[in-house]
Amino acid sequence: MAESYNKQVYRRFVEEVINKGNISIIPELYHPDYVDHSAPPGAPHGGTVFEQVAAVPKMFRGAFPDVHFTIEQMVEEGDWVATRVTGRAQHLGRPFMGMNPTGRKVTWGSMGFFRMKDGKIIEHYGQPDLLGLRTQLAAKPEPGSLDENRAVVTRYVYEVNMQNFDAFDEFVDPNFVDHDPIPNQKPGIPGLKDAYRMFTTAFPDVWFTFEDLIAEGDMVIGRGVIEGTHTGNFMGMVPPTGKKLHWTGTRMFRVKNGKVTEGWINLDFLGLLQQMGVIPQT
Amino acid sequence: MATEQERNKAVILQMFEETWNRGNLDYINLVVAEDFRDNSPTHSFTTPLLGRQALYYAVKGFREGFSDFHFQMIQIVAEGARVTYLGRATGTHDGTFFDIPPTGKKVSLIGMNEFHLVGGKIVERWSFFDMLGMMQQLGIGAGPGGH
Amino acid sequence: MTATINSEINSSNSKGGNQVSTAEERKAAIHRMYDETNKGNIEILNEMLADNFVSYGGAGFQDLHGPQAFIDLYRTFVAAFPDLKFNVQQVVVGDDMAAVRGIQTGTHLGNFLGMVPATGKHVEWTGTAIFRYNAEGKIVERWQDLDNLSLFQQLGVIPAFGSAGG
Repeated sequence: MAESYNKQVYRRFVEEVINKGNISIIPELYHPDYVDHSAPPGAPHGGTVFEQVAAVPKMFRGAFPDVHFTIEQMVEEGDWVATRVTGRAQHLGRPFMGMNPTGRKVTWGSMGFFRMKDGKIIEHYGQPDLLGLRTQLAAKPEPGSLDENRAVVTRYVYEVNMQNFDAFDEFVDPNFVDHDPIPNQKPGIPGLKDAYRMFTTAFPDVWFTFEDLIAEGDMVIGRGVIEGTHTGNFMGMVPPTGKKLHWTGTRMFRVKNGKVTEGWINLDFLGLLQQMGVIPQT
Repeated sequence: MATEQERNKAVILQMFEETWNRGNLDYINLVVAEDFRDNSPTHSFTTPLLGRQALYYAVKGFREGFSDFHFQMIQIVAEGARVTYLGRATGTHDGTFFDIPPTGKKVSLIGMNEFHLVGGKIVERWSFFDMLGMMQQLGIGAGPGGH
Repeated sequence: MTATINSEINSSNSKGGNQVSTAEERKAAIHRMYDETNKGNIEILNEMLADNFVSYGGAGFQDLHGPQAFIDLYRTFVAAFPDLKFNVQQVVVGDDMAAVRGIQTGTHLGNFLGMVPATGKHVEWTGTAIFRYNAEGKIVERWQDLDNLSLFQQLGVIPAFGSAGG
């Protein structure tokens, strides 16, 4: 059954802009006189239509890197399309509704009313189940559970991303064993901080984004992508190139009593050095 | 001759007027199917989800908490067997709302509903009501991370 | 050799096919996969990998589509390191995924990637593989990160100024 033009516009917003982060098509979908009666929590006030609308995927994808919305229903009459969707996500990125990421998986429903003009969205009302979402995000994990272990590692990564190394005592065991130390890395937390400084010095905006998080027993492993702008000297050897770099990494931990006790890491170090121009591309 | 969607729209508009706005809960028997299914996502409600009683207790709960409860329609959008309703709900919290004792505060909140109708009767509902906004306006557990 | 491989495939089928439903079963299958490939039985990958299997590049390699492409790449590694082995250190299994961390070892007796002539050196490098499983219990996606810097330093391709880690 062919979908109407207006419904296709909404579908493109969900599938391209929200689910894939493709904000460049926003001007194709939104009218210059767009009014949003229901800006989501934390959305900016004012700004251009593009900025207003782009804030939505930015907020969702920032908090939930893997967020995926499924369109359950679209009801159309005249200029209006009413929609119902289900959002599925894992809180692995930035804080949401004032809550730090815990790796918790969430599912929530949302309805919206969209008025169309000249084939573009010109007015919006939205009502997500924010209470349900917040309840899921805020739920305290059982001590010793996989949820708690995921929360510890998610927090670890978030605090590293925020370069809040002073908080390490809260979630890193003082006898932490790093199975992949940098040369001459000191033991425990001080050594770990030095290792991170190696990166933050070279890439002041370095940020690890999870793509997968797996937990079993007392082990947790996260796979992701690291990005950073090379504006500082790397390892005292590679002067800044100014380039925006990205490389992959996996980070594995053993978690006991709410703290990480051992860590393993594999990074695409070679790829990183190639992007910095230190090593030729193979 | 009214189309299916025009008839369904009329049913829904009448339902809101009679039940939510006038508290005529018997009206539910006329327009809600016996095997009605409610899909309210708001976990704080303890209302049942199956049968006419689901809608009965939902409306009763709101009207007991807010004697002047009123749903003002902003937009109604219908297509075939489905009717969606966007409205602004207002009221004064002068009674016990589910388990929340009266605060005397006035609320103004957005509510959205999707209805599926068969043979002129409502067989299923999805409801999205600004419960978080409600709690904030009533001054309850509104902080981030609070329940 | 062929008879052995066939009887192994038949015995797994006699257990009701390759359905891996519990975490323990998945872990056992992973250990079996590495045990077998370490013995040189690379064909086991045909059993373990789905037809629409994808191994994402990372670590400087291209994406590979289908079990045969992956088997072919594995064979090029074996050609360079005939005694190639992967020693599993950790396996973590959850939902539809699994992660394996271990140490790859081998003696560099053949040209590596058509770029590095045999050095005769014994090399080792750490690596982590992440798998996603389909409903039939076969691996449908794979990601990897390995200490490629250390590997290339040990092969003498890159000077040893520092090693991966942190």
